[in-house]
Amino acid sequence: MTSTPSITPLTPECVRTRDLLPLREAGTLPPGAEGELTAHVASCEACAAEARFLARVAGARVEVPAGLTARVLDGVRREARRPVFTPARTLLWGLPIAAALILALGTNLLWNTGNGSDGGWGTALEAPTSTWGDEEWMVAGAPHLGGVSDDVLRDLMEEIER
Amino acid sequence: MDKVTDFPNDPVPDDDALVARALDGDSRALEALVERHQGVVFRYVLGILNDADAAADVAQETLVKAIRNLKGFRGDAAFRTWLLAIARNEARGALRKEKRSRESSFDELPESADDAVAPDGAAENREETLRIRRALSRLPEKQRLSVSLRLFDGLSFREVGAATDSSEGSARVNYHHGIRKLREWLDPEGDR
Repeated sequence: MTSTPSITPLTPECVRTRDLLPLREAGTLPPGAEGELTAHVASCEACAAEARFLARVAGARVEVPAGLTARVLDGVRREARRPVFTPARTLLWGLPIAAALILALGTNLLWNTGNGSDGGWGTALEAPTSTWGDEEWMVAGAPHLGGVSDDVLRDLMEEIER
Repeated sequence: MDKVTDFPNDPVPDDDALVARALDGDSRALEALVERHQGVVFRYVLGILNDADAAADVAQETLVKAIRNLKGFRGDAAFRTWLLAIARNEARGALRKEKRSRESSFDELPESADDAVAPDGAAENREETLRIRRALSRLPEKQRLSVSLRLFDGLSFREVGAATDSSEGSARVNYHHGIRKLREWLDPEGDR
């Protein structure tokens, strides 16, 4: 035989009790409320049944995985070690890096042998090893012989003949 | 974070006091904040993701992010409310990334010291616990979160409303509807 759940009209005390019962299970009952709660539950079967049910559900509360606090604090320490780039700091670090890059580019253009095999990056900062490397007569990677001195021109011719 | 202080004159400092001390470099205050709120954060995220492993990861990310941005906590709302707002964003982000289904994955209980059960009735206890958790996971999200936040963590209905993007009144209704549904599923023949 199945029983139908009894429908008990809720009094204002019942409403207040059912609002407070979960707080008792969670351990956050306001001071002074325990006595009122206990007294009503003892006198009201419907609220007593609610209290028993809530205690049953509260027993299934999922607890925090072990070690979570340590993982959080480790995560915070890792984040603290990461460099923080503010606009000012970006400018402070960025300017010298940008200047070095421009210098490297410009130097590479002046020292480029023109063979284009590696776009000149491989020799960007290498010291010239022959007359061809002399910056006097290289403009944008191409020889520009106008204005080249006679001595340099003679050296160039000798290199070609070798 | 090397400075360590005791709380000699304030054995149970409130959140505002702990935040102030943590910002001052007190590592114990920081640890106390984490320990005090990690449970509600974890269970709240679990209520959204329905996956214990993912919830642990997101809870960790939430707490780390909150600590790193502690200076941004202005005190306009309760610290816990601020924390749960971060948790909600992190959990929603995780949902979007993983396109996680909302099916329950409560078949495995997370490892925890509290999961050590007494030998007698251990299997029955675990089965009952799983049954209750599966029922919880079947609730609509707002009801599930309202029940969890109220019953497991004792939040006020106002805080529950803030965490579920509802009014205080709606949070109360969601809680009671959730409890009623759980009773129908878990206790269909009435109180036993």
